Amino acid sequence: MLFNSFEFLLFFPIVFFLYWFVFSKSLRGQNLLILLASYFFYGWWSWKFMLLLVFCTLLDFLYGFCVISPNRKKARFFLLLSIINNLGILAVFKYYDFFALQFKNGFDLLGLHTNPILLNFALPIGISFYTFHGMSYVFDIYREKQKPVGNFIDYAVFVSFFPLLVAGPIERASHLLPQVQQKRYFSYSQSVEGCRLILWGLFKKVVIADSLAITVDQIFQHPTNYNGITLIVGAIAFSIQIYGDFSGYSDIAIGSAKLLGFELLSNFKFPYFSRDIAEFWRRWHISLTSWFRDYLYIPLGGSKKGKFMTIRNVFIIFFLSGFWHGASWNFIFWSAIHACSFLPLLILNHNKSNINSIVAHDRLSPTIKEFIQMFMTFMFVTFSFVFFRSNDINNAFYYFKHTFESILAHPGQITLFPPEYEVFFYILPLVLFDWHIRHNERVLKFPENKILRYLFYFLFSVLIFINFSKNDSFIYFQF
Amino acid sequence: MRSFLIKVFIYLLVIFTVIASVVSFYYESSKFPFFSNSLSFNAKAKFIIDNQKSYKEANYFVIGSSMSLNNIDCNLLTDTIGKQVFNLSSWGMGFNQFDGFKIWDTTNVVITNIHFQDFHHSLMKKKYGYPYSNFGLISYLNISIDFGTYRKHLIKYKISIHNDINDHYDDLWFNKSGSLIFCNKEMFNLSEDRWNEVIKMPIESELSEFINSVRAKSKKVKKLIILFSPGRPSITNLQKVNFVNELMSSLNSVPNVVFFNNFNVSVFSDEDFVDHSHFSGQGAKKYSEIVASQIKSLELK
Repeated sequence: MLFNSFEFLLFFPIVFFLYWFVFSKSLRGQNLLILLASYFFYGWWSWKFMLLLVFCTLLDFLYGFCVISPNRKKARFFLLLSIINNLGILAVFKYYDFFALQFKNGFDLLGLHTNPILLNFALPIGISFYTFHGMSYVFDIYREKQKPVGNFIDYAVFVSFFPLLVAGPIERASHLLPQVQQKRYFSYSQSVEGCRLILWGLFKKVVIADSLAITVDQIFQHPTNYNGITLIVGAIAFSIQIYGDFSGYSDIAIGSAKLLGFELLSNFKFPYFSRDIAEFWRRWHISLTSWFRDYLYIPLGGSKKGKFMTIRNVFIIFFLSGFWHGASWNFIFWSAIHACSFLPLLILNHNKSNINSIVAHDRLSPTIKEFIQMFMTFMFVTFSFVFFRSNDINNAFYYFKHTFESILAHPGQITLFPPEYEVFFYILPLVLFDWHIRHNERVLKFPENKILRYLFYFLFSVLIFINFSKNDSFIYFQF
Repeated sequence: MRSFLIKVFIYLLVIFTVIASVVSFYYESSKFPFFSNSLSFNAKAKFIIDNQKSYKEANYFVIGSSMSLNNIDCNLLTDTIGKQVFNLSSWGMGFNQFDGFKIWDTTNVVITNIHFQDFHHSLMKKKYGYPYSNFGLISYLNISIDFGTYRKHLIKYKISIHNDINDHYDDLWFNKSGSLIFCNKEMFNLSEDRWNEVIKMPIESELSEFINSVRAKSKKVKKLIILFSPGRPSITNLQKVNFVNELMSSLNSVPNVVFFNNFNVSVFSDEDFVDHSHFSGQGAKKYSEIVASQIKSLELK
C-alpha cells in the first residue's frame, strides 16, 4: 500500500479510530492492532513476501535471546549467524543475480564461458529496511544496550511498524522498542504536528516529486533529444525529485507515527543547505548513515586508529552505502565519487567543521561565501545523482558526454524544456519554506498567522489533490 | 482528542467542498468522461461531445480505423445522399471496439471501410488510466480518486493536439461530419518495409473474428455496409486479396449486410494516395463519390 493512495486514505483513519477508541485502554491490544495493520499494509502488496517478513522477524527475535549469553564466544557466534542470515536473505533477493553476472563477465574475460543460473526474484519491498532493523536489534543486545524483548508482538511491531516498514527511517531498537513497550497517550500537539508533516510530505511527494518525474523521465530516457542546458536542468530536476520523494515519504511516515503516539528518528535535515559534502551526509538519509556509523564504522575503529584506517573505514562505509541502494555499478560509482570528495575534508580535518551549526543560524539570508558553498555542494550532489538515476554506468557517462559536447557545440542554445514544466513553479515555495524552517524540520507551524496558515494548508491540499495520480510510486521502494 | 477530531472534520469538509468544485469545473469544462491511450480517439471523443447535435441527428455512421476516418469524406456523403452521416472512426480502432457506442439500432445504417491492416490486433485501449463508469456519480468519484491521472491526460491531450498534430500535420482537423481528410501529400512515407510487414502478418484469426462480429451486429442495424478499400496495385499480394475477397463475399448472404469490394476499382492513380492505402484529399473525394453512389444504389429509405 502506498502512502499516496486512496487505499491508505481509508486504511489510516480506520486504524487511527480503532487504536484510540477501541484499544486505547490496552497496550497489548494497541500493539496487536498495529502489528495486524502493518501486515495488512505490507500484504496489500504481496502476501507471499509478507511471510518472508514474518520469517525474518521471528529469526532475529530468537537470535536476541542467544546473543545475550554471558559466554561471549557463544554470543559472538550467534551475532555472526544473525548477520549472515540477514545479509544472506538480502543477498539472495537483492544481490545474487548481480554477483552471478559479474562472475560470468569475469570468467568470460578469461575465455571461460559459464552460464550461471539467475534467480530473477522480484525485490521484496522494504527488505533493505527491515533486515537492518533486525540487525540493529541483535547488535544492540550483543553490545548490552538493549535487553531482549520477551513479547514477540512488541518486537514484531518494532520491525514491521507500517509507517516505516517499506522505506524507513531505519529505526534503532534502543529508540523505538521502549516506545512500543510503554503506554501511549493521545497528544493534541503531537497529532497536529503529525498532520502538518503528512501534509508537507504529501506536497513534496505528489506535487513536486511526481510532477518532476515526468520531466526527469523524458530527459533521462532520451538524452540525445535534448541540448546540454536541458540535460543540466534534468539533473537538477532529479535532485529535487529524489529529495521531494524520499524526504516526503519520511515526513509522512514520521507524521503517521506521531498520530499513533510514536516519535521516529529524523531522516532528512535540509541536505541541500549543506556547505560541504560531510555536512550533506549528516543531513541526507540520516537513519542509514548513522546506522552504518554505529554498527560498522565505529566497530571498525572509526577515526581512532590513525589516518589510513579512518580513510579505509570511510571508503568501506560509502561503498556499502552505495551498494545498499542497489546491486548495480552505478550506485557503487555514485558512492565512490562521494567518498573521494569526502577525502580532502578528512585529510585536512575539515569534515566536522559544520557539525553543530546551521547555515545562517541567526540571519535571514546566507553570506556570499555560504551561498557559494551551498551552491557548489548542491551541484556536486546533482551531478553525482546522474549515476544514481541512470540505468547503468554507461548511460551515466553518455549523459555527461552528451551534455558537454552539446554545450561546446552550441554554447548559446537555451533550454528546451519538455512540455510539463509547471512544476518548476512549485520548487521556489519548497526552497523558501525549507529555508524558513531550517532550524527544525519538524516544526512546520508557518506562517504564524493562523488564517494565513490555514490558507496555506488548503492550498497545499488542493495542489496535492490536483496532482495526485495513482500511477506514481515512491522511488525508494526499489531499495 | 475531541477538539482535534472536530478540527480535522471541519478541515476535511472544506477540502471536500473545494475538491468537488475543482472536479466539477474540470469535468464540465473539458467534458471528457474518460481517456484512451490514443490521441486520435481522445480527439474524436472531444469532437463528439462538441457536436452532440449532428451526432444525435445522424442515422448513418461510419466506423473503423484510419481507412474509414481518412478515406471516407462524410461531408460529401451527407451532401450526396441527403442524410446526416457521422464519422466515428479513429486511428487504429478495430471494428469490435465500437461495441459500447449507441449506434447499434435498427434505425441506423453503419458503414465501415477496411483494409488488410484492420485484421491485426489493435493496441488502442478505449478507457485508459483509471476506472470508468457510465454512471455520472461514479464517474465523478473515479476522477476524484485519481485526479492527477485525469488532469495529466487532459494536459497531454491539449499539448499533443496543439504541438504534435498541429506541427506535424497541416490542416489535420475533423470536418463537420467527423472525417479527417489529408491535405498534405507528403504526410506519410511510402515505406515498402512497413507495407510488407502488414502483408506478411497472419490475419486468419482476426478475419474470422471480424466476420463473426459482423454476423452478430447485422441483426442490430438497419443495414451494415462493408467496403474493402482500394490500394496501390503494384504492392498487392494477390493471394491474400483473393483469400479476403472469398471470405468477404460470403458476408453478402448475411441479412442486412452488404459487401462492396472496391479493392480493384481502377480509377485511382498514385496521385490519389499518400501511402499504400490512405488517400490524399483528391483520392478521398473520388472514393467517397463512389461510396455515395454505392449507398444510393441500395435505395435505403
